[in-house]
Amino acid sequence: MTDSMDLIRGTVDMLILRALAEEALHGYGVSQWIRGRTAGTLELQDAALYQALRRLEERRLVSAEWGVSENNRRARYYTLTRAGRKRLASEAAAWSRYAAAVSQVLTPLGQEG
Amino acid sequence: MGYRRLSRPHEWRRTRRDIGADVDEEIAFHLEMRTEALMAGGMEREAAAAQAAREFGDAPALRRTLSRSDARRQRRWRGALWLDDLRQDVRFAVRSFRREPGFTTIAVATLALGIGAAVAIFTVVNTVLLRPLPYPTHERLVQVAPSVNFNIALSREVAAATPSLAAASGLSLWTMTLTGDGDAARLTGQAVGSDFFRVVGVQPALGRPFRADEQEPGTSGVVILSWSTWTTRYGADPAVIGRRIHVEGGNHRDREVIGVMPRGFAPPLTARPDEVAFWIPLSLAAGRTVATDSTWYVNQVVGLLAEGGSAETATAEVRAALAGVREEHGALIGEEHVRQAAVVPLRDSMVGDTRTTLLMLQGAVVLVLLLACANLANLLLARGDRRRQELAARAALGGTRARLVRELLTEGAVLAALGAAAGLVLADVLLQLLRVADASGLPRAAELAMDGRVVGFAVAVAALAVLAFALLPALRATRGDLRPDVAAAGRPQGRTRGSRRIGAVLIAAEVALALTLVAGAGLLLQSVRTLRAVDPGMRTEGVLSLEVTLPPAEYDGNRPRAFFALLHERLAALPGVESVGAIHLLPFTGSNWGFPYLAEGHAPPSGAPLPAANFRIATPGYFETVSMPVLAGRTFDGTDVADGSALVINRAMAEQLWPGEDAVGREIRIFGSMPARVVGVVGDVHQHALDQAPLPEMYRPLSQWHVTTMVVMLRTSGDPRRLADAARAVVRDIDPHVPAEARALAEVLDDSMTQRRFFARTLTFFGLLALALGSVGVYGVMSYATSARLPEFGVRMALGASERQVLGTSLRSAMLPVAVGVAAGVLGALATTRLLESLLFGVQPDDPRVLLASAGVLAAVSMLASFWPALRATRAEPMRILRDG
Repeated sequence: MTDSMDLIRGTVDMLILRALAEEALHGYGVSQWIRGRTAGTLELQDAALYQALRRLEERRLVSAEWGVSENNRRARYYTLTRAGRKRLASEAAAWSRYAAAVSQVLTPLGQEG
Repeated sequence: MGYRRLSRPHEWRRTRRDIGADVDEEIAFHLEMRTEALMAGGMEREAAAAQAAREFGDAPALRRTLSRSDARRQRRWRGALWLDDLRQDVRFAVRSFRREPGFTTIAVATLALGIGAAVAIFTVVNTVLLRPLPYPTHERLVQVAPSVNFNIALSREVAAATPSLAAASGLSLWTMTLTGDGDAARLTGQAVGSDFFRVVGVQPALGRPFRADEQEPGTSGVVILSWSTWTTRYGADPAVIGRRIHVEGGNHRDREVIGVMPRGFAPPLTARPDEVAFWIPLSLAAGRTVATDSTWYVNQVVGLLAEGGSAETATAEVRAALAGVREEHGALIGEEHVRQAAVVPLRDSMVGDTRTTLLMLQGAVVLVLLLACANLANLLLARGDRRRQELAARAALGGTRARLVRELLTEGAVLAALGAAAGLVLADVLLQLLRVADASGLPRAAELAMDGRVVGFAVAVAALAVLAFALLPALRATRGDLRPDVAAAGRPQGRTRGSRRIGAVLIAAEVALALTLVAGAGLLLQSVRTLRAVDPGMRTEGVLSLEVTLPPAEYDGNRPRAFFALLHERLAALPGVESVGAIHLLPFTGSNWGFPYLAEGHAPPSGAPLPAANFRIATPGYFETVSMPVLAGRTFDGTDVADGSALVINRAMAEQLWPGEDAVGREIRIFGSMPARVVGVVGDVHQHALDQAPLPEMYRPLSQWHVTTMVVMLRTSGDPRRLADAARAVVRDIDPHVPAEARALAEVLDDSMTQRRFFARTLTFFGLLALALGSVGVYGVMSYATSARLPEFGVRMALGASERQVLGTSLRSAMLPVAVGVAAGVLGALATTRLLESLLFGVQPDDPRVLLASAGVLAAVSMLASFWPALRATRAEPMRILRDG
């Protein structure tokens, strides 16, 4: 179903934006961050991750440039743009509202259980 | 930040392979990091790598996707960058031009002249040669050629016998008199077959076309008006449909208006399509056959190719049809008519012989454009020298040579764009100045218009011009060491040997181009003058022609004779009239009657038709009025009574039939059956074209032949046009319903040379333009070169050279390129005159006068240009020259 694909894509994008919110990372770094933060719950296929990164680049929410990593390897680093930061903020707010609403609906079940 | 930025210049220059390599690297990095992380957790390298790869997903697919999207993004970015650069360059160029308004004006003006000339001629070429005919059926429109007169029955029979033609129609031009609703007017109309509208694919805008049953005298009393006749004469009143109007001619005195053609409809195969005022059906009495039909005035036959039909199949069918008629009816059609008959695309037959000359004109104009480009190249070369410092500064700020060259080319493009815009306007002016639309005699000239293709041509020409005039200067201006300290020497360093050579080449090229054009123009002018000087066989100065058309229905039997006799009397009585005489067809217009004859002492040719001669009706006094010499016997006079059989022939006919003998008294049977006796021989008249041999002609007196139209000639000592009003008044006095049209005979003669005169004056204009451009260009190059050599002259003089020696050096260095240019120009001129031979008349192509004159002008200009600054230099102190440079 398209809706769920979009939903999933939207979620992935948000995670990536969040990952980059603190510092610029290369693709592997983003993958690590997501794995670390969600304690392994959310595992993203790396191919999908890179496609998402490109999408975000195209929409100018992130910018990318080549750099040299700490262990002296060449890697492509992704940085959040100002537009990306704004988008992250609005998406995060929307997600919170959405999560709260779903919680509202579902919680009586849990409480009763 | 966590990483050290890597600078990657020329990001925009990555190739597809580079992009792929980058994507590979990014993926490889990820896999390597994951492998190492897993290895740190205890795995073996191989297992770790495999695991990492599994976790990653479909790496090759990702590589493809990422490469594609990265390449796409790169392309867009590059495009945006390029556009930005272009915009910047253009702004820069405009700024630098505004700082030099003098240079810019001259440059744009030069370009406008060159481009404008090329565009003007291309507009003509486009209209006449390239644009399809303005009919929906233009692709399938054909004509039966050559244009020999058919009669109506024959044209119908040929049409019926050619299945390759879906429809065909004869065409005939008629002059008829329209009365009522305004002044009596003689208007031109076209008589057409009922299929005419199907052939051209145009239906009347109002009313209906002719029906198939409206082709007999009883039913053919209908007429279709042209849009302009309908608006000017009938006030665009739709109620005119169904009315009967008085239009005399073609066996009817009035006709019913059944339709109006759409606005702007121009019928094919007429010299002045906008003058065709109406259409009537070709009308033939039922039962007439090709043999009994005397309507030999169908001038052309046009047709529409059927689906799947071709000109070749139609040609074969027409020949077969004509051969069949020949078998059945013998001498009506000559064998060569059958052999030469062909079906050709209508546009080709309309345009045919003008193609070569128009293309030649286009070539000439391209030469003018090249001259303009050469001038502009010179201007830019000089400008480039002046800007060395500025360019050096730009180079120091990081501009590569390619970038600088691109900037300079953009400047050239801006000049070219301005020049093209101005050129389009100039082209319009030129076309009006040269009077193409109304006085060129070219077919389809009335359709002249600048359409999209012309604008496209202007753009293309401008683009090519940029390459021609801007590339070399751009390369030269950015060559070598552009360091600021080197360039700041200020002096025009450009006078290196290479630079001097370029200047010399430019001079030689300009001289050659200008000479070629001027030579061509001069020769053409001379040929026109010579043609005009050819004796047409009669004196046209001081003669007024008065074309009088009697309505045939009222003037039957003897009445025309009586009318014209009275008219002669009254006209002869007008003050200033020295002589009066009439002939039934206006000479030099191509109007012709040709009749077969049998001559005394000549057996009728077996298996071939009788020979034919031009036939004219004349009145006593005609030959004297137009000063045709009487070579033997007499001309017509009072002794030629109605039942006589007098005949006057011209010298060509007499020489052909009875060479060396006396023709007077011999008998000739017109049509092979009507006897007439030769009473006199007159001089030849060049009826059709001044450069063709005169044809045999025979004349019969009006008293012995019935016609209702005569052209009365009046000779006066002054300007014949002053007699026009009085003459017309005399006609009106005798019968107010008879229209009379007056024209100076000299004008009629001139008109027959319209096309040739158009080419001559156009080529002359461009020749003079070329001379002007060439002179300006040569002067510019030469004086610039001389000024640059002033330091050298200063040194020479300081070392003891005399003024004369210095001047001599200067002049000599000018003469070499000019001499080369003259030599090349002479070769060019010779080549051109070979081309012009078809148009030249009576002028030897190797006539050197014009060439010498033009070469003289150019040499003089360049000598002046190399003399003047050198002279000034020798007057000044050598030291000052050295100091100031």
